Amino acid sequence: MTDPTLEREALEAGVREPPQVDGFDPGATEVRRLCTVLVGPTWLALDVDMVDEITKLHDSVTSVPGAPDYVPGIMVLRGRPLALLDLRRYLELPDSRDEDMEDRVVVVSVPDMRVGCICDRVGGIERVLESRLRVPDAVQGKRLTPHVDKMFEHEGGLAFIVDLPSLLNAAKT
Amino acid sequence: MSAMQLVTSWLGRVRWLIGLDLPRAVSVGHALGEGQGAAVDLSQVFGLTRPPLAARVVEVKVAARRLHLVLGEAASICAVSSSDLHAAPRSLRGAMAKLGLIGLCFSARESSFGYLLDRQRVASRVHA
Repeated sequence: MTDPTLEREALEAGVREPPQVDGFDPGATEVRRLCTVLVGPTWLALDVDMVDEITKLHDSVTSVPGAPDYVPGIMVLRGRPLALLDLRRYLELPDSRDEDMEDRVVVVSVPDMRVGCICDRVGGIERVLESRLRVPDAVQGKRLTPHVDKMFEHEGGLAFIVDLPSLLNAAKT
Repeated sequence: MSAMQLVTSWLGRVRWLIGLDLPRAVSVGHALGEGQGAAVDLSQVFGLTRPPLAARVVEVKVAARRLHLVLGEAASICAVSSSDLHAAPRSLRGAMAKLGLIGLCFSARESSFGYLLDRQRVASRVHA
């Protein structure tokens, strides 16, 4: 079932309409709903059920003393603290942003943790048939490799499906 | 909605609000004077740059002894609503706990968070 809040906020954030997939059956259980995000040169795909919302990166980020460089700090989101994780820095991916790109924060929840993942761009919500998924031969970035199990063709390249609980637990301080 | 009183101070260039619960603070906000070499400078503990003239000392009790903590400018007492107090985010709990930071305090005026300090853990870290 589509989350109207997420899709509305994704559209407000400038992402495109979810594309239709050939042979797509909305009731089919073998369809995965994924939120695609661009991190450096790499497309990642996050399970939509773990994505709460998409927002802009605020100016007032409170630094955390002693935190690694991939933790830029804590952002205020509706009066509550949200720890930030710079995915590009954590995954050690190269910076390939265009000048006009604005950082986006994808707020994700996994058991016991809610984190704002900073990415370069939000692609949209994809409905991907399981039959399109493949096991990757190689993944760019050694830090990304343990958290990826499947990939699919996306935007003329590849998108890697991220195991969010695994990644966030590895990145926590 | 209950409130608690905190000794608060800005610390360093980044203006981190550091909070200490009041009941065990003995004196608040006097300037750093001569003969206070045993004071713990929190800007050094946290790796911050503090303007030298902005030093204010808060004397707190830790167990049976008194500890001088050097804070930054505008050390003062303020009432904080419990709704503005938050636990450390789980993903940052380790990094914050190492420095004795046990939670966060939201400042609506600054639209940012300050840190709540556990004086006993700061003391144990300094004297370890």
